[in-house]
Amino acid sequence: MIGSLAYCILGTLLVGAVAQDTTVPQIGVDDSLWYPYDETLLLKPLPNNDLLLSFTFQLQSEPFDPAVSSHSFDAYEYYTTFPRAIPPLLDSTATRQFHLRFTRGFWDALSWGQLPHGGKQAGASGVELWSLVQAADQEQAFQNWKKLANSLSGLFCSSLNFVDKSRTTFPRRSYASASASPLFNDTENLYLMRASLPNEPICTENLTPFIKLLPTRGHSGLTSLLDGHKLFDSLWNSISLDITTVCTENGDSLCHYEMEAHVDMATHVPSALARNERPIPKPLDGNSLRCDMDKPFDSYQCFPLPDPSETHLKLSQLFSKPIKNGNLFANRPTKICADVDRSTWTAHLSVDDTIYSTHDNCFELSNDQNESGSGYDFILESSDTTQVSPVDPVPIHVGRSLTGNGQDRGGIRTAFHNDNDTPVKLIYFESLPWFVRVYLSSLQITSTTSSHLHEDDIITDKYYLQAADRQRPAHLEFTMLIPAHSDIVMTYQFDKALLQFAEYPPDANHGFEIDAAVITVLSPESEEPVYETRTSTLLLSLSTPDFSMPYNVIILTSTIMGLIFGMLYNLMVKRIVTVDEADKIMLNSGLKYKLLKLKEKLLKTKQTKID
Amino acid sequence: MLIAMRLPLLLLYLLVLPFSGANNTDEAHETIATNTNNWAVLVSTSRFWFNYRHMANVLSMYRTVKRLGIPDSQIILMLSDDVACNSRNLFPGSVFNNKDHAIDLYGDSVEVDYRGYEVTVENFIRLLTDRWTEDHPKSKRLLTDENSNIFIYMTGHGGDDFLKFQDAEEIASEDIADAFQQMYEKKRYKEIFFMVDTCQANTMYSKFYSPNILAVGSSEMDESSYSHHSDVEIGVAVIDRFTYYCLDFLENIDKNSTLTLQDLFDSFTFERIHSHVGVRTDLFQRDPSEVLITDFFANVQNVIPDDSKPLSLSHYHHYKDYIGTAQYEQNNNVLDLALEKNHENFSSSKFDRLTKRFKSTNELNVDIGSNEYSLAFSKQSVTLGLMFVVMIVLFILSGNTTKANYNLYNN
Amino acid sequence: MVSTEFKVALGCIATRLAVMCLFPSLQQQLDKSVEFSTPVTSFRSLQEGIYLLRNNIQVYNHGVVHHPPILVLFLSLFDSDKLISIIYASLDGLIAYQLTKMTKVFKNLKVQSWLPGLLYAVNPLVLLSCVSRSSIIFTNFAISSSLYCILTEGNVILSSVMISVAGYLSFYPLLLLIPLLGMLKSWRQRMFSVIVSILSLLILLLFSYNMLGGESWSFLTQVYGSIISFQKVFPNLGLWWYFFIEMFDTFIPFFKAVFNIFIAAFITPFTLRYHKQPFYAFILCIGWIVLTKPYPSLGDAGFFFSFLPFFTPLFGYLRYPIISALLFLHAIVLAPIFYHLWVVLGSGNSNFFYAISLVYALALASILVDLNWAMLRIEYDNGVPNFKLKVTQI
Repeated sequence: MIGSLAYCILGTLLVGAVAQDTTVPQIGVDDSLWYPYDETLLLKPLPNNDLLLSFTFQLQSEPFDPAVSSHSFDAYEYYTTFPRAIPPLLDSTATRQFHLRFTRGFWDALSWGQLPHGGKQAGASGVELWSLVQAADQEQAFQNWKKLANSLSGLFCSSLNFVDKSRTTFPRRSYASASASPLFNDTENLYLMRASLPNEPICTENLTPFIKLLPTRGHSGLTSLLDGHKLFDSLWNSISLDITTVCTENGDSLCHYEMEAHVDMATHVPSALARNERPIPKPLDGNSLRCDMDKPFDSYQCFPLPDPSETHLKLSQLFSKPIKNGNLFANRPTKICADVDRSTWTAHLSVDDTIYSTHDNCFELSNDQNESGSGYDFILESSDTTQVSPVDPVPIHVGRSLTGNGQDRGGIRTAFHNDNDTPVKLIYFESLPWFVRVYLSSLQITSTTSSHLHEDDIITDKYYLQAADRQRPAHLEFTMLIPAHSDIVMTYQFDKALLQFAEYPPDANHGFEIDAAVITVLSPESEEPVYETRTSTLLLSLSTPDFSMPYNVIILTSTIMGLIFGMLYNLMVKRIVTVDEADKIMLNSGLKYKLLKLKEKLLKTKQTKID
Repeated sequence: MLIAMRLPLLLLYLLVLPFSGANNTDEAHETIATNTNNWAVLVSTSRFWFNYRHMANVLSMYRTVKRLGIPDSQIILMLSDDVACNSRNLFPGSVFNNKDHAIDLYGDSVEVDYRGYEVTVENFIRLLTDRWTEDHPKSKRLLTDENSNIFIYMTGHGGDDFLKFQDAEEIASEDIADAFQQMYEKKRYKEIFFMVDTCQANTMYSKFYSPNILAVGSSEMDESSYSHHSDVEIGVAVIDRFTYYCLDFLENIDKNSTLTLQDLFDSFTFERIHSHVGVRTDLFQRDPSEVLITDFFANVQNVIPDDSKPLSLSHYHHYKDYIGTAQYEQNNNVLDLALEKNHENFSSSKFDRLTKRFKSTNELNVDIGSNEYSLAFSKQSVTLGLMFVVMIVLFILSGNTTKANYNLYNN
Repeated sequence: MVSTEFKVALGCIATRLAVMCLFPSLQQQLDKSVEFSTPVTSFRSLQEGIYLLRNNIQVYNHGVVHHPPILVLFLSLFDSDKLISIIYASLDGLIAYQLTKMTKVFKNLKVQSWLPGLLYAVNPLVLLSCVSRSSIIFTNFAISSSLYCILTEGNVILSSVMISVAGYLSFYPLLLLIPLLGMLKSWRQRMFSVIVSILSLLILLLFSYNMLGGESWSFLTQVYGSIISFQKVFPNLGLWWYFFIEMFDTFIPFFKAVFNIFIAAFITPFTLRYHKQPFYAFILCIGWIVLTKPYPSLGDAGFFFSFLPFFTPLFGYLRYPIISALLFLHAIVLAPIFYHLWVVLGSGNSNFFYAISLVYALALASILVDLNWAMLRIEYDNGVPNFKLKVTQI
């Protein structure tokens, strides 16, 4: 009954779409009237009652001529949907691409499989930035990079201004871009630089400027759902921004900028819904407990059932508001898709008390349906939430941890686990701060699955750039081949340095964060990157000097040095005489003698005066 | 003789001077504000979760000035720790200043300019005096001019003539006074309203010596400022008394309010705040009873008209007569220049868009070395080694030795 | 019949090898302790240098390696661990041999010729330093060879060359050229010695430069620059580390210069004041460098103490030998404990270890001062000891 009703409604929708009203412009009809802007939301239920939501926003700028300098007074810039803040930044720092990632939380790869978008849109915990900069030499490139990081820190309210030489690396094979980048000056080169701030807190102040960059600015379309309270209540969330310069080879050889922004979040649905009723997680009272009837059950005993496997989930419940309307100006309508297991899940779009469904669970929001302005809502229903569409298997599981105790040395242990039938080729990139003094000679590869293992079989190419104190982080880039069905463990030792008094942060005993290691999985034939993943960041505790002691230390050490110097100096320059001789000499030249003489002199003069 | 003639003139001039009324109106007591823009600098200086109330203080002030119209581009917000998205916060993304959770201070569009480790004494003084490197982004600078009214609010843990920043360093009241003097000399403010909510807060403004500063502090020397109440669910105190009663007053203000600062000061009583609020008005030209609250907290936009000669448009109107001539009069009208240049461009045939202006490349980081090295025993090194050995042998053979008898003193 | 010196040397080698075999993990333990290993002498960083050399990675492009290139090259020629142990043990044996031979030179010295050698062999500080494979042993060998050459054979060239080798290996023993000049008789000889040592140092540096593919002089900043400018601040028993951690940024270059001048401060005065006893001046200079160098270790102190038996006539004049000895023992017993408390357990403070390093400095200083006083006293007595005389200084 309901199904036939739904089909009726669908039919009217299609008929409505065919019989176009020429007075109201329809989205998707005439591209030249509308601006280039794409927004999509993908919902994917994950095992354990989790839900992955991926918001994608794509923009393009108007074309520009790279030869015309923007400084000449008759140059003009034409902006439609592309944010006004970005192109001057790219121009003044000669940046061709930059990629910014704000990530928070833990992605449970064992349950949830691959990261969304092949891991290419997720960063390490904290802030990560990498960019392609055009410059004449490495020093100039670094100056441009620093300017870019400072400007982005102001734009995104994050502490990217802490990116300096001691955090920047020049990756060799990781972070390779998919396509060639344009070089506007033949005499200069392109430089790839990357930095990460692992202990950066991500909060609403990073989301606010992000939303303001998009043309809908949080007032309509999918951006009206983005809310810091819901986004940061999730198990894992990532905000990413990619800006690239694309130049067309043919025709009038103009270039334009492309921007791709993603917001991905993985939430646990029952907790997110429960927060609407009970903002503070308090224990439920006895009546609302769901108890297992097969086990002993009375007023004092209750064996709680697991989370219910039936669900009727509304997006407006999850975000506390519906989607206001589709975007009103783009050449393609807002799209919402659900990637569900068809046998147990259904997805519907609800607007104005009407419910729509499609055959591929993808919906386009065209504004002629939302006549009352009450907004769009999306409904996911399931009879068995444990059945989800299959998660993509992760090519490699990597975990990294610190070993050793004591605050003067330690080790890093990375474990690779390959479940597949084929060996996995990957690039392992690690950037360690300078106070982690690596001993590469202590590198060891062991395996629990195979006994005779040669290091050269696993690590086929090794690049190691030593850290320079306060100038450069340690840079390791290994090309590794992990055999099929194997567990490989890589360990190496390091010394922890003592920093100078002023270099410790205000909460020095919290520890120092070490960047995550970046693993790029390559395809076996073409050596192109297919998947990217990152390990967790590490917290390193360094020994601290006593911060209340600077003056005391200076005084004590100087005293000891002065004491030693004084004693030896006295011994060297004075001559030895016997005590009696000394007394005689002192009698004629010591301080007492001099005072006596002075007294005599005064008395003499007095006497003469009297006389 | 000449001197004798000049002297009476001099005396006459000196006599007339006091009566020349040209400057009288400028020295007269100003009663209305003449600022053209309003800025706010809101600083929280404490770190760690148990100082939640200091973030809540600052965010409450932030909300107030935003509500009354000061845009984010004119607010510098410095929060020394992240409490909204702290894992200890039961309400992610929210900061409350009252246990009834009526207002979420963090809201949806907060922009924090200085966060975490960036809130240091050095950055605060640099912000006030605007001494930055050229990379520093505009949104993090205090771009005030001589027509700006600035509201500066500081909260945290303080003491006698100092304020603690992040539990690691201190700013002295003399430092702030000197920074304000620099601002005065660089004409970076018209009037400053300085509000500080810490223990012994009144000592913080005791050292100011620049004009046009009005200061209010929450407690006297040797007096502590107290927090208002704790929230059991969040687990810490959520607001300080002084700021709580300040907000109590300010929540009733809107952009058109005619209440004055004296009304605000009158609302602070010892019974409510539990400490003696101090106000310093000797450096301020106007009387607080004449200063509207909206002069500092709202974004009032007075306009100063430009009385200089109007721009003549005669050149533009006569432009059409210039077609074809190459004689351009010297003019500084940019619009004219643009039109002339554009005319040039279209009339010439330099319009060649077919040349390639870019080159696609996939080579990155080309001139960075590969940190490789190979042990090279070049001919030079081998010859050096041999030379060394030969030299030693020769010298040994040739002699020039010496034998010495070393006697030690002995018994 | 095997001569005494060979017996002593063999005994020395035997003890080292015995300890190394009986306690195989002792090397790593000692290499991790701050009393015996410093960033510029530790075996770990030497291994790192060898590894980088073998894997064609630049050795001196910043990083942890501060050992001079020729040393790294020399040890990279040996693959087996046992061979390296034998090298270290035999170097110690050679030093013992040299000490024994030197004792024989001093005919007036009423001490058994094998005594200094034997004391060296059983000296726990030197033994543990050898077991930890600290590279200070090469420097010590060069210094003792220089003394051996000048005392037993009177060979000016070789001793100058060995001094410059010692200076090439760690920087400060180059200052010992000045007391060496004090040991020579005529100005012509001194000139010659200076020229020879400068020449050999230049050749060593040029060889290192060429060895590294002639790429850069970066090894200079990495090896010598890090010692002089104290780049790697790491706790040790010296006076430098805590001072430069707590010092304010703007004054650090000034104080580094002051500390460097402090090391050089007493070399010339000792040489000049004891020009009649140049050997004694040489030993005092060794002691002074051990006290004031930026990266001291107990191996240096042990090496200094092994020369004290040459001065038995002075022992009667020492004013407070017990106090100096007890201070020293106190310092070296408590230092590892306080370091452990600070770094491993986290229950102690860095101030504990710092205080002990100050006590250690005082102990060494009191030994030096006492020796000085004894020598001045014996000079006053013109070699005929008169312990009863009460003297003072003015």
